[in-house]
Amino acid sequence: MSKLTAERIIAVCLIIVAGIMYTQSTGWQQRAGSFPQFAEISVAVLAALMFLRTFLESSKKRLSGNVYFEFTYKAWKPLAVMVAGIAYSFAIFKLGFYVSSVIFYFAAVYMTGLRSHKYIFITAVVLFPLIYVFFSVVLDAFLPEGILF
Amino acid sequence: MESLDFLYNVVSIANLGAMFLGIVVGLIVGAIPGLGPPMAIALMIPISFEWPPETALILMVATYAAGIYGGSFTAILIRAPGTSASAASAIEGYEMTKRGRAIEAIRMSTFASVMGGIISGFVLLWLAPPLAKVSLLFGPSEYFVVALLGLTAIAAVSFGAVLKGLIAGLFGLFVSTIGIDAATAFPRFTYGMTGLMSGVGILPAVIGLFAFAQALTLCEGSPKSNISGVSKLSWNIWPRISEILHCRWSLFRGWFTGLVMGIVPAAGGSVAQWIAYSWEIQRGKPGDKFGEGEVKGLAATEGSNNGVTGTSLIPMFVLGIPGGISAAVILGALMIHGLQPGDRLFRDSPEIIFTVIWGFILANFFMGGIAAVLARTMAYVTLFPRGLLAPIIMIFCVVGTFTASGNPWDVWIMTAFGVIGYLAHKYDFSPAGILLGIILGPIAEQGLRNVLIISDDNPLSFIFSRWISVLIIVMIAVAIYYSLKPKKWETTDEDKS
Repeated sequence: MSKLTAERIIAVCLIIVAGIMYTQSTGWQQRAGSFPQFAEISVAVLAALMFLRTFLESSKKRLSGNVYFEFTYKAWKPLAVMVAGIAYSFAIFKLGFYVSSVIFYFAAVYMTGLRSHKYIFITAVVLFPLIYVFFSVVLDAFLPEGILF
Repeated sequence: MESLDFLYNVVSIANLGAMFLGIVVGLIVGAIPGLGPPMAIALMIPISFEWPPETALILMVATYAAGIYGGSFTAILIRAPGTSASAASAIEGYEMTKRGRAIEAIRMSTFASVMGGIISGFVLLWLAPPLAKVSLLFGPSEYFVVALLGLTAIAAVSFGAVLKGLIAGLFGLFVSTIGIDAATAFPRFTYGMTGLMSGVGILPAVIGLFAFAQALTLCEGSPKSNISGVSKLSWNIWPRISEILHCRWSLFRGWFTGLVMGIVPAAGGSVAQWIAYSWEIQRGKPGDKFGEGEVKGLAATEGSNNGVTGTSLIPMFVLGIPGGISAAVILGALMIHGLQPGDRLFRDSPEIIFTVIWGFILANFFMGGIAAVLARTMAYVTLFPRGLLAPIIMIFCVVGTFTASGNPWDVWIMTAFGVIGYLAHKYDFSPAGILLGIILGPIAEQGLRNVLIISDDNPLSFIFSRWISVLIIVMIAVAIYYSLKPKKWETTDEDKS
């Protein structure tokens, strides 16, 4: 796919999303929808400008070339860690903060491709007691508890 | 100079001890994304409950000043701002770190923050009552136009991709409307989810957009490499005269913006830093490299967010109007100790209030030494391998966000903003623009709504009938003019847009 097409697709998607949100915010009582509608209309107008701009010669030059999708693990690494991060944000309320954090730490470090086992282990040994002392002891913060603790 | 008589009161073991405790706690808690000064100050209340009022309040104000500065450590070193008032520093500060200039960034940040805090403290000491009257001039119409002034900063922080930057800012405005509408109690875009009823907080948004997104960006490179690309850090932590002179006007602009914005209740450091940064970009000279680690940009943002600290206490001390959450917590502490804010505080208890203000000024002074050493030590984090740093940042994002509110929804909102921030950064939709929209949205909406009600749906005549609003509108026009004018330091404007 060319970069020009990708830019147009993004602009059209923005217009569609702004349109959907605008429809949802119409008919709200006592002007509750006025401010969101201002933002939605403005996004749609700017996205339309973004779309129209792609027909200008200068934009065609700037957006020449294609969007490349690399299907290697290296390219998808941030996405894999992102998914792990999202799972982690839910897991802390099921497994507990400490258990899920330890699992996430080792999983995410290995997902990034780091293999210095000694370094990874020593950091964990320092990190988690430090978090426990600072948050649970000093700040007396309640951290989510799960199956074990 | 009645106030000078109370300088000696500060120099007692108890007061100095409280000051040091406040500085250390403020710096550490402020540096952790999610916690920030309000939490640090709140932690100090039970500790100081039975202390003399001046000692307890010195502890609070020292914690406040140090907390604001502490937020800049992580913003500069790993692009994970500890507080929303340090978000703008993450732009130039982190770019400097990436180029192996972390210590230089810390040097300038420390100097700008310390001097900003001291100047702000003297303004608080000598000009509090008259400036408090100025803050009373700010009504709904002024809040609305101040928010518009803040929004003009979006164009500046978009670095050439103005259209996408504006879309990002408007997306932020839209996000700020999620939740129960304050005026009508109507749930907007909540889809029946109770967690969204209270809206999207600034804290989860700033942590997600900057810190969590940064962790994902770190995963892109080689896991063994570090952020700064250097293997050693120097101990040269004091700024040279030449460095200060190079940034002198940037520092003045930052301090001035901070001092003025501090007086405006509800604006504070979160807005001041962006206005200062945008002003700095507009005043850039050929050779300046904004967005690529320009020290002048960092000097302005760091000067402004600590320049706010003293003057933001003025409406609280003189009028009893807290300008922000930190000031509100300090106000609570003031009342716990049996003191009532207002003119009478200065008239009936000068020995307490002036001792506290001197304590605030000295705390900023001592903070310089402690902060420079602490920040230098923390800079070792930039030598960590990226593969190790990314998961650690993500864990701190989660624990910091949850500790701040105790609300699981904030953790999920933070994660969602992490994903949005990562993608926005990748495709040139400025995450800073999104954050600005979220910060300014409620101020703008509330101000506009009040103006519509007061003016009976005729807002323009009402706004133009108030001189302070007109003055701010002139400033907006000047800011827009400079935003559209090609900047002296920009070479390839078209490339990014």
